[in-house]
Amino acid sequence: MNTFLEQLKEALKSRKLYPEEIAEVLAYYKEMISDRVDNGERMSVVVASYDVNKIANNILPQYIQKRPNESSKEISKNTFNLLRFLLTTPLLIPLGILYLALIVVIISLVASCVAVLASGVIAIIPLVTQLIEQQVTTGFALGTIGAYLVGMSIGTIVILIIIKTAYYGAKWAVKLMSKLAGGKKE
Amino acid sequence: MKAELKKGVFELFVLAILTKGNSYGYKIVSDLSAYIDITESTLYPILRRLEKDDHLDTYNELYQNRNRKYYRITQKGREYLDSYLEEWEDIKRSIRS
Repeated sequence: MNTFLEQLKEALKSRKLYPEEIAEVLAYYKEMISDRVDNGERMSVVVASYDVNKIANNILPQYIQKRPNESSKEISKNTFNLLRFLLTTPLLIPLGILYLALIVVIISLVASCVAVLASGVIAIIPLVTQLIEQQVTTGFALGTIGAYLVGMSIGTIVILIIIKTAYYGAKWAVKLMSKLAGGKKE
Repeated sequence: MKAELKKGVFELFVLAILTKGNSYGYKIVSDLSAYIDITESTLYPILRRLEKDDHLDTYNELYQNRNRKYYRITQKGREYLDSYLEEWEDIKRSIRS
């Protein structure tokens, strides 16, 4: 039994399950094996009836779905983990491709928002230079810079809303895809 | 049977078994085997899902110097089961009429 549990532990570890999740699964199978043996089955037969990889693959999406995903670090970790699982499980490859496309869209959206924000900040330098070169009045220069900063602030708010939406989109995608993967595995 | 339907039916079977009394993993599988084709590996995610949805809760009891996890149906679980059974009766009635 110990060898089986060790193999199961390794299979679960390789799928990046958390230690407490691994402990829960091991406790369940330990109890199940002990009960089957107590009921007259041979240990070798009981252990041979389980496939550690199948068990780990069935369990992974369910655990990912259950995780709270409260930080962007946790979301990216679970996204990568789920994506790797989907793309390496033959039956789930189409779902994996769909998920990958969705993630690429979300990342592109965030990257373009960051690029727009950065270019907006940098663009203030040529604006000030131009105002100096054109020797405009101080009032006009301050008015122009003020208007630019107001525009930048509104733009920043819009961009932050888009980034926040992308964050919730990624969170929702982890839940949805793990649910779909869990349903298909059973 | 479609995956979603199968999953739902298995959940109902587990809850129905637990209405007869608290039980543990192996016994649930043994009892259910008389009605449906189910393995320990299939049962595990079902038990976890039902626990997560508060349809059942668990407690440990010492058995032959080891811990055995028992599952107990909750009030919410009973209501869930009853509502499904009522719905099923409605479906049967509408098919027959």
